[in-house]
Amino acid sequence: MGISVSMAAGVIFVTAIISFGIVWYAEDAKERVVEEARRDNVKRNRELLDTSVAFVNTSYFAAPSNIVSMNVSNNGSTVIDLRYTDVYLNGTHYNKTYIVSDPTGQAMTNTDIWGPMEIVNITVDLTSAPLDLPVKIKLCCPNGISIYETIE
Amino acid sequence: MAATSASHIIWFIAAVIAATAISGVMVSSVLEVADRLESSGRSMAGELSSDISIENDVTMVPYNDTSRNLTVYIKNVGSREIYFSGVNYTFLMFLTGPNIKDPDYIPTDMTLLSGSAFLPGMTLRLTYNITAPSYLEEGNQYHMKIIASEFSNVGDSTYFRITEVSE
Repeated sequence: MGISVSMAAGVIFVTAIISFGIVWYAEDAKERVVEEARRDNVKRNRELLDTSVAFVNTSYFAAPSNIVSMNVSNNGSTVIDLRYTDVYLNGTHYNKTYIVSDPTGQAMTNTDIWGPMEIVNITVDLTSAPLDLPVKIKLCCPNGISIYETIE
Repeated sequence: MAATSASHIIWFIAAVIAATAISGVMVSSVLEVADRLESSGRSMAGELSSDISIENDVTMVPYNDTSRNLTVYIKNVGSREIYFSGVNYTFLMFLTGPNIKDPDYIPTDMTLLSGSAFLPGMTLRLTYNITAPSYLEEGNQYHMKIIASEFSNVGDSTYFRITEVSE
């Protein structure tokens, strides 16, 4: 009887230890995943604070060109991906082309990266559907930071 | 003497069987708890890493008076891909304002403006058909809330006005 009870207690004790280990490991893994997501969140918020862009000038070249052109300066300290920077004219999204110039004014071809202190020239071709003035422009960066300008 | 030994063996076997059964139930419950912890961790991390932003110019949200289509642009401003396909991975819109009788809408079209997956930084164009008797009018103020159905806590909301467009 004595050895039976001891044996049973031993089996349950070992199981309890293993169970505790499993729960501990699962809780630790959960905390690690959530902590990593929190750090990521903080990093995104810091990037938002470090992002600043401003229109240098905007112009609308009427027919036969029908082009909206804007020079925009990256005044923040983050690098902006121009592929995911969107242009809206009067509320509607338009495709764009762009050329980045370094702080000395030297144009750089084949780059989608818009670094701090650089100016990007963005053009939107409206040949297929010209717009009447005024045209309201919204430029939206990949992280959601946006600026507005109106061409009168 | 032999009877006592047999009795001990029976007690021993019964105790081991009972202990093993209890252990089995315990391990099974613990594995279930561990599984739930892992899935709740994944879900919490997913919600923390995911975010969307309504990118429209909120004073000029495109609306076609004939087709009754409202166009909303949303940007993935989180740090992971957000899935969009079918009913399970869509973007629900709750619309309120003058002449809006039915507040719940699901998009009739979801189109990426670039790429093939809704990755961080990318923009998705959503088209909502504002079915009769509801309709939108220029000059009125409306409110929309868009929720990613993948995560109930990931969404964005804004007040807006429309601009009538032709498609």
